[in-house]
Formats: sequence, C-alpha cells, structure tokens
Amino acid sequence: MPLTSGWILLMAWRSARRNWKRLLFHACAVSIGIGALVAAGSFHHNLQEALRVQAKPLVGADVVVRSRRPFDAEAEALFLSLPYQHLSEAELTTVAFFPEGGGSRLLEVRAVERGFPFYGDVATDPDNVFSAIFDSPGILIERNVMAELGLAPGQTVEIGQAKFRITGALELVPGEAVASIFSAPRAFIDLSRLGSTGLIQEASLARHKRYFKTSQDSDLESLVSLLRSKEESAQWGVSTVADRQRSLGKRLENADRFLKMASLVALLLGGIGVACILYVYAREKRDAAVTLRCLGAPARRTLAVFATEGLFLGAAASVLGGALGLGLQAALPSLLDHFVRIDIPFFIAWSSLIKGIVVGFTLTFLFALLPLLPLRRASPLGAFRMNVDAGEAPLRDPAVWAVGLLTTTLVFLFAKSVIHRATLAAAVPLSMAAAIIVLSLITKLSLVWLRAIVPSTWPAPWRHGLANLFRPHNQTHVLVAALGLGGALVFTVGFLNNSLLRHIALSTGGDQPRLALIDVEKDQVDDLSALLRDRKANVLERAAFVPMRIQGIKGQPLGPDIADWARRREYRSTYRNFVAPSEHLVAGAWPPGSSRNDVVPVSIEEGIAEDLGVSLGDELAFNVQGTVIRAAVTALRRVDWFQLRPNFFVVFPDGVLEEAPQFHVILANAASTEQIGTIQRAVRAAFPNVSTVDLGMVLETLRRYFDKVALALNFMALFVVASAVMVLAGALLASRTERIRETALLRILGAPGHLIRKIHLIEYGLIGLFSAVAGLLLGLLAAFLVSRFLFEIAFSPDPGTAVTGMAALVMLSAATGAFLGRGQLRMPPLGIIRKDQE
Amino acid sequence: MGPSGSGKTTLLGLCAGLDRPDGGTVRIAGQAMDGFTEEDRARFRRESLGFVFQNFRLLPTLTAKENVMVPLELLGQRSAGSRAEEWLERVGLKDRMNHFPSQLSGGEQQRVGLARAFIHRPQILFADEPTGNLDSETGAHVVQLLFELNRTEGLTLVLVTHNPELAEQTGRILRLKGGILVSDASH
Repeated sequence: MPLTSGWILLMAWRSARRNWKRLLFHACAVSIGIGALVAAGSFHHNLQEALRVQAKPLVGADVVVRSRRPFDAEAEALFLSLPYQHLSEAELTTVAFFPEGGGSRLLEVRAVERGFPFYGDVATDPDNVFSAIFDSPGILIERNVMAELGLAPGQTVEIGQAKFRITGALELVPGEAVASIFSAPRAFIDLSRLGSTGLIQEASLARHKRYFKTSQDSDLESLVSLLRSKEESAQWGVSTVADRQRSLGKRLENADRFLKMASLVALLLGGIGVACILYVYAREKRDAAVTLRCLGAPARRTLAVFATEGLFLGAAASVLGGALGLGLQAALPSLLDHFVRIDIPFFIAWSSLIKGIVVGFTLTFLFALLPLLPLRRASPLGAFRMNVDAGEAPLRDPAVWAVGLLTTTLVFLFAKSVIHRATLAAAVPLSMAAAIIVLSLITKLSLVWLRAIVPSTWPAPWRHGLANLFRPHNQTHVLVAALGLGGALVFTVGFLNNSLLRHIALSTGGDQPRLALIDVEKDQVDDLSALLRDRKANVLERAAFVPMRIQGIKGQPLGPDIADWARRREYRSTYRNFVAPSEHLVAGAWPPGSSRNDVVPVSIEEGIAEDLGVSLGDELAFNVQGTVIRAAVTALRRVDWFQLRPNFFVVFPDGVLEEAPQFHVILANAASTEQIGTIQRAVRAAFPNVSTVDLGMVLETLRRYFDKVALALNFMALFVVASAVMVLAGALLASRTERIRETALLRILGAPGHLIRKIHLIEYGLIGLFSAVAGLLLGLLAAFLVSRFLFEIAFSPDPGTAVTGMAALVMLSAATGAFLGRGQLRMPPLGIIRKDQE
Repeated sequence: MGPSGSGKTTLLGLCAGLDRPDGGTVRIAGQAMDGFTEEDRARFRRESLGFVFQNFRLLPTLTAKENVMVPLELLGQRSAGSRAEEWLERVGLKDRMNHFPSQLSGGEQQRVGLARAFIHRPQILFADEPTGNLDSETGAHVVQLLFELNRTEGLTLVLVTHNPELAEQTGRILRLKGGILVSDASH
C-alpha cells in the first residue's frame, strides 16, 4: 500500500475505531459548542421574527398607505387588483357635540371598515364593543373624554350632520404613533357612515389610509416595492412594521444589536469549548505521533493522520451539534416558558443551520490543527526519553501562525455576518486575544501569590489541591482561559441586558408623563401649572410651539432638490436655552455664545439638517406668521423621538419668539386614572379652550410591545447562560483524562475517596474562583465599552448579576471537579490505569 | 552499556538519525547523515532501521497485527497483512494478533515490538533496554527471541543496556561513562 491518503485514512480510521468512546466523548463535548452556535443563529432569527410579529399591533397591518386626498380611481383599481386583504380608513379632526350635557369637544375621528385592525385589538370598556359600531350608528370615544365630559354608553354624539350612539370608551388603540400623542382625543366610527356626516368634501382635510395584510414575507416585499414605486406620482406615503420598529429608535436598534451580539457570544463560547477540548485531545496524540516519527513516518503524513482524525471528530461533532442546536432551539422556549411569557415561533432557519454547521466544522478542524501542528516538529527521540521537546514552542512555527490567522479570519467573518460592521467584527477576535493575554497574566500572578501565602502546615487536601495548580502539564492556564473568557462573555451579556432593560424601562416606565395639556395659551401656562400642583400632579415640562414655515436656505429660495416634506411642512419650533433630556448635541454649541444682531442662532435636528442640506454656519430664513427671521445654524442635535415629550426640529434661543403667535403644551404626571379624571374636569371648567390628552392610552401599546422586547432580551441572555454552562462543563470534563493517572496513583498509595474528592474540589474551586474574578473584571470592562460607545446608553450593571454569575461559575467548576473522580473511585486502581491505556 | 546518564540513549539517538550532533559526523550503513533533512532521516529510518523500545511503544489504537504492519505500510508494501501474520506466528502470538496492546501482557507487547522491528528487514536494529520493563523470566524469553531472530535475519543489532549479562551475549561491548567512551571490547 503506498504511503498516500489511503494509508492516512486507514490509520485515522484505526485510531478512531479503537478510540470511539473517547472520540465520541470529545465529539459530544464539541457538539455542545456547535449546538450553541447553531441554536443561537436560528434562535436569533426566531426572536427577531417574534418581535416583528409583536410589533404588528403598533401599525395594525403589514403595510399602510397614507394619503392627504382620497385615493383616485387608478389607485383603487390597483388596490383591487392586488391579491391581499385590505381595509380603508378616513381620519379627520372635527368638533363633536354632546347634546346630553357635555357641550362640544374637538375629536380626531377615525372612520374604519369592519375587520380593522388586522393585528392587535381595540380595547374598550365595556369589553368587546368595538364591533358594535358597525351594527348600528355607534361611536367609541377615548376614555378620558368620556370621564371629562361625564359621558356614558347609550348617549348621543353629533358629528357634522349625523348622530351616533356611544357604544363604549376607547381604552387602547393599535396603530398609533408616538408623534400623534399631541393631537386631539380619538373616536372610532364605521367608515360607511362617514358620508352621512357631510364632512367629507372636495377640500376637506381628511387623511386617508389603506391597510394591507399579506400572508408571506415575499408577498410583503413585492407589495411594498410596488406601492413605493408609485409613492411620488400618487403622492402617498407607505409605511411598514419595520418602519415603525425603526421609528422606535435606539431602543429597538439596541435590542436587535443585543440579540445579534448574544448569538455571537454563543458562537464564541462554542469556540472556547471546542478549543479547550481539542487541546486535551491533541495532547493525548503526542505519544503516538512520536512513535510514528521514530518508525520513519514523514512529519506531514504523521500530522495528516491525526488531522484526519480531527476531521472525523469535526464531522461527527457538526452533525451532532446541528441536531442538538435544533433540539435546543425547539425545547428552550417551552423550558423557559415560566420565565419569559412570549410566543416564539419555532422554525428552522436553514441559512443559520448550515452556517452554524459549516463554521462549527471549520472551527473544530482549525482548533484541532493548532495543537496538532507542533507534532510535526516533535523530536522522534521522545520515543526513548520522557523529557524531550515534543514539539512545544508553537509560537515559533509559521504554520501555527497561519492557522491562527485563518481561525481569526473565520471568527471575524462570522462576526461580520452577524453584526454587519467590519470594525466591530474585527474587534471581536482582537479583544478575545487581548482577554486571553490578560487572563494568562492574572492566572500567573494569582498562582505566584497563592504559592507565597499558603503555608506548608495546611491540611493535605489543600496542599495537594493547590499543588495540582502548579504541577507540570497542569491545565490551570487553559481552564482559567476558557472559563474566564466564557465567564467574561456571559457577564458582558448579563450587564448589557441590565443596562438595556433599564434604558427601555426609563422610556415607558412610571416616570413618564401621563397627561398632556395642549392648545394652552401663553398667559394660561402659570395658572394651569398652579391648578395641576393644587391637585398633586407634577408638572414635568412646559414647551412653547411657534408655527412657522421655512422660506429660504443659504440666502436662496427653496429649490426642488429639497425633500417635499421638509419644504412644505409647518415647523412647530420652540425657544429655550438648554438641551432637553431627549436630545444631545452632535455638533456646535447650545446655548449659543454670541450672534450677530440680525441673524438668530438656532439649533437644528441632524436628520432634517441633512434633508435641508444645511450644516453648521449655514443660514436659513423662517416665515413666522408673516415676519421673516434670519437664522444661522449653530448647533446640530440628535433627538430621541421616542421619548414622550415635545421634540422639535428647530430650537430658537430665548428672547426671539416670545411675542410670536404660539401655543403651549404642559406635560404632567398623575398617580391614578381617577386623579387624571379630576384634573380633566377642573381644566375643562376653568380653561375650556385647553384639550387634555391621556398619554397612557398610546403608551400602553408601546409598553406592551417593549415588555415583549425585554422578555426577548431576557430569553436570549438565559440562552447564552445555558450554552455557557453546557460548553464550559464540557470543557472541564475533557480535562478528566489528565486526572485519571493521578487518581489511580493516589488510590494505589491508599488515599481514601473523600481525600481525592476534596483535592479535586479545591483545585477546581480555585480555578473557578480565578476565572470568576477575571471574567467579572473583563465582562465589566467589555459591557461598559459596548454600552457607552455602541449602544450609547447609560451603563447600569446589576450587582445581583455579578454575585450570581460569580457564584455560579465557582460552583460549576467545583461541582465538575467533584464529579471528575466519581467513576474512578469505584474502580480498582489498576483497572483505571488499564482503561486509560486503551 | 553504561550507568544512567552515561550517554547511551544520546548515542543511540545520534546513530539512528533521531538527533543531530553538536559537532562531528555520523556515518551509518555507509551513509553520512550530515546533509540529511528531517525527511531524509525519516526515509532512512523506515528503510534501513528497526527499533525495540524499553516501554514497547506500540500504538494503543492499533491491534497487534496492525502495529506490526506499520513499517511495511510506511514503505508502501502491499503484502503487509500476510507478512505481519507470519511474523506474529514467529514470535508465538498467532492467536493474539487481533488483540490491542492494552489486552496483552508486557512480554507479549515486547514480542509484538520485536515483530515490528524485524518485519521490514532493516540493516540495523536498535534496541533500547528491551527487557527494562519486564520481569526476569519474561525478559529472558524476549532476549532469547531477539538474538535468535537476529541470527536468522542476519542484521546488525545495537543493544543499549546497563545489564552486564545481556551485554555479554553481544559480539562487541562499548562502555560509556559521563558521555565518554571508556572501553571498546570485542569477544
């Protein structure tokens, strides 16, 4: 038989055949890592899909087309030709009369078709009366208006020329945008009865919507692309669930980033497990490699034999890992159901499955190759001598560097495919390498320190347990690197989860305004504030709204190159000398230092600055009710539009707009719905022109959605923790072969079982402690950097996460140590040695 | 022969091309090894040398027969299986050929080692303390077999030992002490 690939395959097969139990053990341990990798990729897709589904009630449909004018015959023909369900809506702001006692009130009337909404529910009081508006001329009115005017179901409302009977109070409406909270209270009627009001005429200011529901994502894409292609000619706007998710701003963006990052962490955990296990595996091959070299086997062929075995191992682990990943993905939602009540659809994300298996297989092979490569240089003299260089000093081997570079590139490519940013993806393997160096240093220093402080008079289990950490061929560095790095990754995920949850809670939590008073005249602001204070409501914010239009840019009239919406819209600007909590400066300074008398310094929101094509120093002309004001951009702001507060495109400094026509908005907090009702009645009695809006109704839909987002984040964090436990336990168990001989020797010398157990417990407990401390420090640093510079949120780690994580890591390591010797202690020592030689 | 640390294994390693000398030249079987690359040395070992180790050095995942086949397989010979069976029969292990090393006694393992060392008819056979890990009775059997096969096959046997009785059975004894050749006696 020639010395070719056939012989290599034969030798690899012979080795694998005899070693199948050990190989299977390694493959199982490695497959946990690959399983985590596969499950994380698919699970990330599942969670994204779950969040997308949960976001649908925010829109009420898959796609919405909005128009300022009724859809013409051409549009109607197009809609009818589409094979999707669709519903119409017309919305207008009008005055409603309440003949049975309430007088009149400005309402935003939404006239919808039966079947609205496609997603989510219109919550009412009494329950389930929304459909009643289609059965008879009925109307549902926002609960705060009902309370404010003392209205009850059965009473009459006059809208235009038509009369409607109140069927109930509106509690919750899907499809509301944050921006709409400062409009009039809502009411729902049947679209088919809108005509009877006589309010829909040629020049009426009604807004028209068409809601679409698709059955498949591919349908959605083609529908959106078709409707968007006609956006300009038909003068309509198209929005989707994804658009609404994007409009929710950084929270959702960060939530998605977190999910991606967590799936990447699961991959890295898998990689750590694989590397750790294969390091042990390669060490076991050293003797056989040296013998073959001594018998005259060429170095490359010797390597090829064991690399082929590694290939078998990778293939077996990949298949097992793929199956395990799918099983994990399917089982985890039901296992964790008590913790996270969210419907997560199970579907096989084939791309993630294939990617996971391919990456897992390649990674396994490369990790197997790294410790095997030095065997090429192993001196055959090692067959005669124990202390001969067996191919150590891998850092001097260019092939090791080449494989290391290949592994780094693979991790980089995988990271890039998950987080889509090359610089961040590059930081992943680099920071891992830096973390390994730091962990190695911490281990070294800890060992030196321990050696110095532990007296020789300590009891035997302590002395032996500690000695095990230093003895030749110990695995302290490898295990601390694996556990520490794994711990650091889990701590990073945990602390980021803490920070993100706090960030989301801040946006929709209890410190948010519950009540908005709008259309407040300037001279009413102080009196209204006093009224609120008297009724124990906190005034959170007062803001002036000054309507204006933009007239010129950089000394020129507005050209067609500027987006239509930015050119034609009415700008409701404000004036103040501070940066609001929902904004931060990205360029320039605010309040402005000084300015020319004839040019007012203004701060512009960065998005609209881009649409208008202006930057710092550029001049703008605003028309404020006939008066032209020249302004220069001195600051650019980034605005978090999702914050429930008045946000503005343009902010003027104090001292310019005080005398311009304006109205004010006051935001207040309130302890209960009853308190809100009391305030509303008092406001209505004293300030009939002021509208009160219950922000809770809009907030509720968002709050429910963000509750689901928070659950998804928790779920993914739990998944990472579960992966870490399995992967790291696998890595620890792989070190058992190193313990077998020592256990047998101690047993031969007559050591009792409890002493051996204590020795293992102390050794592994200390390894766990080093890893936990180092992992915590690295995790804190990584989570701080990510939250500060990537998520741009406050870093708020929970001490509970730190304590629980550390305790869990120490216990995991110690428990594995205690478990290691269990089987061996029940066998005769010679039996153990014989078994080890097999 | 010589005491521990006298340089026996170092000399064996140099002669067998397992190590490189700091100075001087190694000529073996008519060839100077100075210019040999690692791969040249490996080829030379598989073609011309055989080894018997103190700790047997059988590949634990291969059966007795497969262990014996390895040198022929490394030379690309097709009849490795039948030749290995013949050799195992010669060392008295015909009925143990499908056993793994862990299923064999020390003496049996060393007999497999002998079959592996002889099977490809090397020019020189290096044996490093071949009885070092065996009891005296088993060791005696192995030594008897080693010399018997050596006589039959007619190859050069280089034996490393500190056992004078074993050394006495050879034709020439080189004594080392502290890395220096202290005597060279033929008999």
